[in-house]
Amino acid sequence: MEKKILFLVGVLVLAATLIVSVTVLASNEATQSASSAKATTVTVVGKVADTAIATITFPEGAPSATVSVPYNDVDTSSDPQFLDTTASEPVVRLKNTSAGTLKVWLEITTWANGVAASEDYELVVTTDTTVAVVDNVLSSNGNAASVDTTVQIPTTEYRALYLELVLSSLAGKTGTSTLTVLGETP
Amino acid sequence: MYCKSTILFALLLGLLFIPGSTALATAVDRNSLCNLEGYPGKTISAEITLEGTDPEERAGFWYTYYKEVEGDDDRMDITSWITIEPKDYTIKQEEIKAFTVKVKIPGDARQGLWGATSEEAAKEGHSAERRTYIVFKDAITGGNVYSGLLIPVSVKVLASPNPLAPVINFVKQNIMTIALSIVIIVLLVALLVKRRKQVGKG
Repeated sequence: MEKKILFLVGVLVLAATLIVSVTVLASNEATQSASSAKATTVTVVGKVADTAIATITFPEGAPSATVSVPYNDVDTSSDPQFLDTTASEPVVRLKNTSAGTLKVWLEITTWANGVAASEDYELVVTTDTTVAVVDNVLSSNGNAASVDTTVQIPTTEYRALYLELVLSSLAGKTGTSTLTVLGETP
Repeated sequence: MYCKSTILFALLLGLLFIPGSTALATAVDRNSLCNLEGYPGKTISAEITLEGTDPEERAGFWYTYYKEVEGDDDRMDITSWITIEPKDYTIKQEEIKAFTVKVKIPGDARQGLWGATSEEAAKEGHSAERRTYIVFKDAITGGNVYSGLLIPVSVKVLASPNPLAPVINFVKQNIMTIALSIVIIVLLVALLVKRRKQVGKG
């Protein structure tokens, strides 16, 4: 009887060992590899040169006037934005250096000293040189604002950005604001 | 004459090697931080890196943003849960900087998805389903024109874990071994008892 029990225990131990052990099967392996590019911010470049700009300046205007000739620090005041029905030129171009399409958001901070009454934008393909009117609202009161333009820039492509500022009725004031171009995967 | 044409040729050849001034900005290694999983009261940490690609040094910062949409419920704005360290940065060309995004889930957060209306929000074509973002933006030092990226964040708050869950999982995964071990132990005990009885009789 004892022998039978010992035999049974032995069999069970063997079975448990077999269950616990991991069976390694030989297999044909093929290595797969993939990589994804990093997402890169939209670059704000000059009207012609592919050089990143640092500032956009609106020249002085009379109180309540509309200033539509801003310029960037690469093209300088000698080559400002130009609104025209046939040969318009933007203030800057936006370049998508990311690996995929990006949707563009525009943000501004509040204009200091209440210098601005409102700010508008146009964002178009660079081949469109018929921009004579800039009337998409970026900020309706000169305060901080964030706008989803819904404009998408495919990878490696450019878009032309036009800006227009309406000055407030305050005279003899100078103010600053920052413009931000944000990209989002659509 | 020969000398002049050689110089001209050399100049034209030299033009080929003048590097083009290609403007680049800042690259990030994550397009989204969606469907992060965590329990109420716990903090989720994720690392995100930026790489400078612009020849000029850029200065910038991180912040959170909630895209408000009419009809949103209180699950959509989780900006108060999120912190990014360090917040401010400067970055040079080819420099890589790491940042830690921490999402602290409140103890009373209900189970389910927070920060987006769908688990698909990270995918292309689903931007309308995103609500909470982290944003980085930078500019050439001294500039007033920034560029940056919106990175959506969403969290799947899980039901509070059962303290016995690890034990239950272990039993489930090793049910056969455990059953056999129990049978072996019972048989050995039976054998031992029998022997003791035999020794007692002897």
